[in-house]
Amino acid sequence: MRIKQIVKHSFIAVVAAAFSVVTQAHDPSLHMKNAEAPNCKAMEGMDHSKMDMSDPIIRALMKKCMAQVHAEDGAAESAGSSEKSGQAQHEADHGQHKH
Amino acid sequence: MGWVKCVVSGLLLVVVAGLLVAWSGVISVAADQPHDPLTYKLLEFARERSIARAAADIEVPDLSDPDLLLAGGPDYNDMCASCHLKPGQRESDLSLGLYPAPPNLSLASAGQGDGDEVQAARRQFWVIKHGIKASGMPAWGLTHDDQRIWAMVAFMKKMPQLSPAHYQILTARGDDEGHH
Ligand code: HEC
Repeated sequence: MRIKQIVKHSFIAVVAAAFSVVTQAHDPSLHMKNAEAPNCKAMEGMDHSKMDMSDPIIRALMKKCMAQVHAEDGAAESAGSSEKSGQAQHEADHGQHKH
Repeated sequence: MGWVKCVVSGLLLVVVAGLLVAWSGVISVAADQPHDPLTYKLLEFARERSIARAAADIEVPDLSDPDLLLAGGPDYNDMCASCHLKPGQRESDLSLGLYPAPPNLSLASAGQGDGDEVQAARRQFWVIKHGIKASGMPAWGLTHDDQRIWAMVAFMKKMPQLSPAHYQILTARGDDEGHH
């Protein structure tokens, strides 16, 4: 039992250290500042006649991209850099949050 | 009475021996040094039994609403992708560096149970909400309500079918607010 406990606690310490760098509890609104815009150009290449409108994925995609058309004005500044590398960007984002 | 004494002192001996082994420092806690296969199997077995038991009575809501994908996608991307990856991504610092390794949840083979969708959803919900001790998997239920967790479960269910481009669209937070 003791061994397990020691191993366990050491793991928790190591992992907590790694983990605290990249994740923090957050409300969605905290992400808005550095938010990436959806790149709906990717939808244009799709053959609309082959889309299954009962597929939740397709419906979600359509909905999101409809929303983007309407929100274009506000999203314009961030749209230019929409192709930045997701992973690196998000880790950078997390570093900036102050809690 | 004799045998009781025998058992007790036997147990004491085991405890002391265990303490000695721990004290000696020979047990490696390095994350880059895997358990031996037997230990790994044992821990895995205990984990699966524990989750199955704890999650058995969870009621799974309807997960087919597209809005759930739009809610769960951005959360997944912000909080989980660094460890659990995304379509088109094979590894990250955390996916490689953590032990036990976080499974690649963008692959159909990960976390979908043995074809039992309800059980798979229960299991994922429970793991996200409560986390897994002594692994890198945090308990997100302390800071996120059930609704948000179910949305991520719904998103993870669909993720293996998403291309990188579709993943980007569904997870972008860019204009959730709308500007009307
Ligand atoms: C710091 C890294 C890390 C982060 C961030 C993280 N996880 Fe995990 N997760 C893990 C590890 C490690 C495991 C495997 C634990 C084990 O094998 O005992 C795991 C396991 C899981 C599992 C069980 C997988 C299976 O089928 O066995 C699910 C589901 C899961 N995580 C979902 C999530 C979700 C959703 C998020 C975001 C809200 C998230 N995780 C964030 C590290 C992480």
